[in-house]
Amino acid sequence: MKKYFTFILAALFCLCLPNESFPQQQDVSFSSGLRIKPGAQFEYFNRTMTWDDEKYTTDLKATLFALNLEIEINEGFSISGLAGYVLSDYDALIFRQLPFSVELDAGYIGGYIFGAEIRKSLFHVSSFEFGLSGQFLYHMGKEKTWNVLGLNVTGTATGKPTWRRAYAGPYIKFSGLESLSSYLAVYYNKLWGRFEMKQTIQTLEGTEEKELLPKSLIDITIGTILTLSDYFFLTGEVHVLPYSDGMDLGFVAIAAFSF
Amino acid sequence: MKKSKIALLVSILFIFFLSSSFDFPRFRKQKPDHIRMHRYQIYPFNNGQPHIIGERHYAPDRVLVKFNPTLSTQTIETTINAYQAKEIKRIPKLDTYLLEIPANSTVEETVYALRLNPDVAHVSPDYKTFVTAVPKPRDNLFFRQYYLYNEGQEFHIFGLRGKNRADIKALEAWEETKGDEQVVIAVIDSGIDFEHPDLANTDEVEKISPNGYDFVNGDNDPSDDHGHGTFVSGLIAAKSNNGEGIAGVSWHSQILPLKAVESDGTGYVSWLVEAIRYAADNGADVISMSLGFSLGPNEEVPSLEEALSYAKSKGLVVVAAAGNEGSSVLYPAAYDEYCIAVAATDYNDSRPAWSNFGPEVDVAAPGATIWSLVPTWLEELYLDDYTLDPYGWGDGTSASAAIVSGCVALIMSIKPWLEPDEIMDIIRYSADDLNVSEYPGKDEFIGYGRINLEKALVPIKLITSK
Repeated sequence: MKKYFTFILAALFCLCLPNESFPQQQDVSFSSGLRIKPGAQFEYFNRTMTWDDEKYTTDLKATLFALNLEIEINEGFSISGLAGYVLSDYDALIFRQLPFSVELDAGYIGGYIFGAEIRKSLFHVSSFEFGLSGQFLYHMGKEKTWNVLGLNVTGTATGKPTWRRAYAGPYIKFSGLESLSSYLAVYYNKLWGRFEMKQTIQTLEGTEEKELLPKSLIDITIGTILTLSDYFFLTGEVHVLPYSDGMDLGFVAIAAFSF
Repeated sequence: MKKSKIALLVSILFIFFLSSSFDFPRFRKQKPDHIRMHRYQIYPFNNGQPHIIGERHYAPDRVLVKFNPTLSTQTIETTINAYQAKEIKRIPKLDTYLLEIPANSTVEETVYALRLNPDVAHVSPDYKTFVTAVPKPRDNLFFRQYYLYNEGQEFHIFGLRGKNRADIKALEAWEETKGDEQVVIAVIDSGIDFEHPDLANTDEVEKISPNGYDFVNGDNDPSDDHGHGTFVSGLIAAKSNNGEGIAGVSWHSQILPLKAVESDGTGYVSWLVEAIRYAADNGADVISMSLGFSLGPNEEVPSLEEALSYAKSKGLVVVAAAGNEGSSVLYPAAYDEYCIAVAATDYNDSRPAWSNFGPEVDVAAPGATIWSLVPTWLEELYLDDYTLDPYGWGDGTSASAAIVSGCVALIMSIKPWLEPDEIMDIIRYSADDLNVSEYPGKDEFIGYGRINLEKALVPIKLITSK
């Protein structure tokens, strides 16, 4: 509870520190006309996933490296696409439908990521901007093969993870500082995970597809955009996704140019 | 501008604060207890000295000390030096010190000396911890069942001890499943003792299926007038964890008793064929046959082979004993395509000479000095106090086959969709190849090896990338 309280206080602090006494207010990320903002993005998130009606849980840890291209079509409305590489790590994902049950605890599995994002500013009140934003990501993992050890015959298991993530929701952004703007967003954030595991041990063969759903669905995001020049921005985001008996976290860092 | 920079700095610090405290597991629930360490039992002090029971169970060169909270750091350091000890680390929050004791002193002496010091709040050796043991069933005779869990305990009245973990790893497997009452094991044997306390049906448990049949007398009362059927039935699925008697391999499975052996321990193939067909048509999932006969080179029993084929086609897994003559594998176990043929091992994971052998042997399971049920009506025949209860010792691949039948039932309990051939291969491939140095791979003596329920049932960790 103390963590929540501290977090909320810090968020309010970030949003409320600047006030009307700052004369040089300007929106650093929106301007008139078409603007193109290529950038690079790093993201790490940890998500508690469940299967079999929440009977079992696993932790999905993902590290993303992506290039993105944001197109600001007009002031306050932008769409962007991204593509990159992601490392996904499932902790203690158990497959019991195979001839020999296996538990995946094997580190990161690489794969590709594609996605799109949309952001629409709705209205401004003083230095505060209110809007909506959303993102969709699709991760296509690469197959990875492990030896099934401990048996008196040889065998392998081949796994392939995929997941999709979509979030959308309102945001409030404060742009009252010269080179810094902060925002707070509350998203509905859902992640659909899927893991296909094939097993071949001599005469035994089996395939199990596991559908995974997140325990957390509400995403409270706090972020800061640092304008280093008219053409270069840094963005940092922290995602907090509470659920009934725990909390998932994520962190995003974006470096973007603007033309 | 100055305020702007302060705000910028605060925001950056805030983001970095959050990112640097990304110890994600802190926010989550703890993992289940069975993978956590726990503190070893701490024995009471005896005149300031800890008891030493058997092997030393604490570090020989260090102690844990907490000083009175009023003491300054300087005083604590002086005190530590006075004992010629050396601070290894201080455990924050608890203000407890881990001290390395001088080479010329013992843990016992140091503990004793520190306890006399009024500035010391408490002191103890640095005890070893152990991972939590897999729980054993509460059955009071479980310690005799080395075949289920062998920690080298004295399991026999003559002081016999086995080799540590020369067992089928049942405790580990029971963490995954203890069997399902829907899985029915047809025991084709001499019948069953309906009155035996470790088998008898009660209001809560229907351990014995009411659909049993007596093919010897042609009625539906398969009462055991020999004892063998009760013995093997107990091994497969005795009532378990009930504080009484023994544990079965598959705790919750049901026995379908099919009597095809007379009171003298013999029977006819015709009864056997009928029983197999009956089991296949009356809801059995597994057939356990701790019996057999030999055939000459040009002899065959097609009707038995057809019955086995019929059972397999209906999804039943058939387990049969290899035999105890130290010769070739008996029938029906020798019908390789339809049966898991089971040889025997003992409490040291060795093969008894009497265990039959041949290319048909698939796996082995403990079959020497096996403790199981004897019929209640045999009680008066026993003399010493260990047999006042209806339990006794037995040897033979009959026991081995029964144990494997229980293993099949456990697999079927959690993977009912598997085909008979798949289950047979799981049992084969998961066995421990005990004689790998002499006969690597499958051999004629123990087949693929002594069964290992843990490997057959517990998820195998995928940790090595290919």
